Amino acid sequence: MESTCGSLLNELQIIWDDVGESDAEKDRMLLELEKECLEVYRRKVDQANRNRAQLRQAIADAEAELAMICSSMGERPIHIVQTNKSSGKLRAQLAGILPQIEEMRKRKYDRRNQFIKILEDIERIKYEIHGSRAPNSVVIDDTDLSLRKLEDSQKELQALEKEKHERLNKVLEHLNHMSSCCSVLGIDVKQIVSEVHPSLGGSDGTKNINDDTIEQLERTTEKLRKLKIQRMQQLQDLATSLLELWNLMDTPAEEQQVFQKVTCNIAASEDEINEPNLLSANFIDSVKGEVSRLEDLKVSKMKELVLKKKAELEDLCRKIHITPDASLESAIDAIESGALRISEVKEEALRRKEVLEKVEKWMAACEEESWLEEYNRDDNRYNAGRGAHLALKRAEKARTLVSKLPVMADALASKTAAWENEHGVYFIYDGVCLRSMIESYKVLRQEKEQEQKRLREQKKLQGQLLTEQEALYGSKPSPMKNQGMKKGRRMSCGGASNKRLSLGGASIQQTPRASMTPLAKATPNTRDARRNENANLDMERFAAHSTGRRGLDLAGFPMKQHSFNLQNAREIESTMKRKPFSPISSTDSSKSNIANVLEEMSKKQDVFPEQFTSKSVTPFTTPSKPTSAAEAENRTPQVAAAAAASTLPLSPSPSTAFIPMQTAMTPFRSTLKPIDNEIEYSFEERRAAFILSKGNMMQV
Amino acid sequence: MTAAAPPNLGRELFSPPSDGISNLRFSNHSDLLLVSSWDKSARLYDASTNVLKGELIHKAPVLDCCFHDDSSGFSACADNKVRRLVFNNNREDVLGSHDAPVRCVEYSYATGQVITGSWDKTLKCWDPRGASGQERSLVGTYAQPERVYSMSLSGNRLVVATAGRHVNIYDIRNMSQPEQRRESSLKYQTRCVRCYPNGLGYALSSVEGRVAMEFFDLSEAGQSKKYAFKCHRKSESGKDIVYPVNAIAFHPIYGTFATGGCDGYVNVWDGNNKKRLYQYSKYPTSIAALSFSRDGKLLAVASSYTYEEGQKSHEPDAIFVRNVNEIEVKPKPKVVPNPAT
Repeated sequence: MESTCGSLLNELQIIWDDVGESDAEKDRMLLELEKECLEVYRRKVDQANRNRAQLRQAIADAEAELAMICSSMGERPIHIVQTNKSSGKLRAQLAGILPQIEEMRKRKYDRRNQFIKILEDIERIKYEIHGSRAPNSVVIDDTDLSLRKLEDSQKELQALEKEKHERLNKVLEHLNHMSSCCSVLGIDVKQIVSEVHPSLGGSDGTKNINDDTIEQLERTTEKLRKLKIQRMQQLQDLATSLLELWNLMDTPAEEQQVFQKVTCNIAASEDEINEPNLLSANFIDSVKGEVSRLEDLKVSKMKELVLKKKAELEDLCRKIHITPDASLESAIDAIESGALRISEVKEEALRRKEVLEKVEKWMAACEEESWLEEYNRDDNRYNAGRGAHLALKRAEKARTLVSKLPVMADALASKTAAWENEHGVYFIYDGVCLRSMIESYKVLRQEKEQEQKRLREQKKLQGQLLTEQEALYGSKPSPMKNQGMKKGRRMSCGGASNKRLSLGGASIQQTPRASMTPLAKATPNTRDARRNENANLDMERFAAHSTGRRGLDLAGFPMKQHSFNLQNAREIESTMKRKPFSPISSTDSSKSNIANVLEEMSKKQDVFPEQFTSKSVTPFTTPSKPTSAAEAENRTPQVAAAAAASTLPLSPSPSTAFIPMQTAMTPFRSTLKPIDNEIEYSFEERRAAFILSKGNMMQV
Repeated sequence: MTAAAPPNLGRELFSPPSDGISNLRFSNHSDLLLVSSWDKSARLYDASTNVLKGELIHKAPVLDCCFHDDSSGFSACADNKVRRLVFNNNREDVLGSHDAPVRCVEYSYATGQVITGSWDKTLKCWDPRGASGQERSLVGTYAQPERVYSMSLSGNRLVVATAGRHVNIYDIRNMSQPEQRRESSLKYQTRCVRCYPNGLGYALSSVEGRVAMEFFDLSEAGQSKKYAFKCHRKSESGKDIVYPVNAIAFHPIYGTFATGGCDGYVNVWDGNNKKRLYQYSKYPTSIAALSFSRDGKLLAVASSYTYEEGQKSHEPDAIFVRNVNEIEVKPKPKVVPNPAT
């Protein structure tokens, strides 16, 4: 190259020399030459550069496509990393990438086809199931052809296939059921089925399985079932009549044989009747025919009988020359009209059936309502007893039922009205117009509601009063207490046992200190468990006795006085209303106790101070006052805790549990109420009096 | 005294009174315990060492007692006499007498006077420094509407509860007439009255298992805080057995209080939060009296039949001194929800 360029230049030099070009011209031409050469070079360089850029572009494009395909397929684009710039030459790079792209394109195509197939299947099944729109051509999202999506689609497809299968089964089941029903009913199943959907009639595989079809199938099946039941009942009624008639008329067996299959199903349930055509209209008609034939036969036989009797009668009459009366004629008429009437009433029953069912329901609900009222009136309804939980449950149910009652009555009224419109007569229930019954019930109910409202208000008022009382006096009678009180009273005041008790008390009095040590007798020491089996009785007796003993000890009262005491105590028993310090069960005994002590105290009240100071023996000469003191608010109570103390409960372990106080507001009283004249004594005063009296005794 | 009390009742003091315990009080300066009894004795125990330090026998049952200083005290006796007792040399001086048994006695450190209440329906104030003889030591006699049953002193306020459910509140600097005359909020006989340590009111218990919490402040706001609550009751198969509440004792530090009833239980209450804080296990018989020591670390419990059912055989009278845990008496803040309820 160098040589050719040089030699050409030499040649040019020689030519120019020969031509005798001027140096300036030579220089110009050389410059031109140089410029042209440069241009040629530049062109080539540019071209090469362009080529390289194109190549790079191609590689980049290829890589991009590869990456896109990979990403759409959900694979990692490893290839690019491998073939990256390391291998240097661009052409080699491109050559390396191209086959990969080809490969990936092919895979993508395959994957795409897979998708198309699955999605098409999905669409097809969806169409079959929902059937709303034609299967539209599947649209594939090219950017996501990953395996995971494929799997998802496959799962969807499987689920759909399963559903399809289930639906198909359901349809087949319905069809089976329908065909069996139809065969029993003697109806062409194919016709019915193709009414639902033409595809179902065919015996080939494709059956319409969409929602509509299934729903229709269900409806049809239900319709058929109802029809079947209705016909079955009809047939069974007929069968009953048949049997009766056979029985009545001693129908020969061969005649019965024909309808044996009717009578053998007399008690069958719906699904037990499978024999084809057993319930077909024709067959039932034929049975009906048989029944009416037998009925006719019966009537004619009866007529025959009557006629025979009539003939006999006439014969007899003729023989003894009496004119026969016409009573037998009317008997025949009665037989005929009776048969007619029976069929009429049967029809009537059919028509009334629907309303009657509703009436029955309503009546049952009314019954529950009245039961509930009764129950609500029972104050002891929440007491645990046998069957209480059952009653509670029943009450719960009854309450919901009662809440529905007004609606029920309204529905019944409208139904009755509709029935009356339809038939043009009043609906008579046991001789009473049903609608007027409902009306009167409604009025009654309204009255009851008003009454209840009034009661509620009254109760509220009472409650307010009670809380006010609670605030005033700090105690509120609880229903429990009352109940306990009742029980207690029954226990200790009840006729015979009480009599026995008081007798016992009296007898002990008459033989004081007979067997017991004075102290033991003196107070009802009911801590003693052995004695406590019958705490009530014992305490009562002791109470009575202690009066006696005390009287003796203190002043040596004559016996009359004691019995007077005892009597007094009894009086108080019945007059006293409330005593707060005793368990209720031992109410009365403790009452008498208190009463006795009080009485004693009140007896002593005059002499007490002198006694105390002068230590003189003052016999109790003041007769015991009628103890109005017993009803004193502030009487000193006898703690009758003893009854309970005998069976000491496990002493509860000290608890740190926070227990709220049972508090109540107390009213402020700045003004003092005048106090009644009765005397109250504290425990200490009574103790002091006792010690004193003991001292006196000793002195005496 | 061989039989040791079950540990959960506290330490039982040796040589207890032989008859009912009418009252017991801790000293304001030490753990000495003064006990009065129906056995006609007034006894001084050292509760921390369980030693009987002195005993003075009266002519009649002693119904109440209180400290003067650690070696001397005052007694209220059923022989109508008010005495000053000096245990160092076993001496007793009669301050004077009422017309009926003296039921309560209080000593006011503020005025240096002894105040006694009696079943003769009077209150009397005595100056113990006066020479022996009623004429000299009697400061004043103040008529009460009824027999005095219980009395409590806090600062200058004296609350007197009498029969007939009267409650008179005095300022002891002016005893001429009560500052307030009230009727008990409770329906039944008053058993015990005790002033709050903060001097704002008093608690009053009745024979019918109930305690009323009262306030001196007569304004509507002050009176709206008052309430009463039921306690010392037993519910058995739907029947309520109600016991008298014999004793109330306030904790000197926390202001919570213990109540003792004829059911043999001691309950600790938080009056502000209206909660029961604690119930100690049952004592053998009725709780006759309760007293917290000056620092509230000890609680003396007199388990002694209180004659609520008349003369009868009963458990022996005993005095238990128990250590008080903080958890039993410290009020719990209101915000803590009670998990038990």
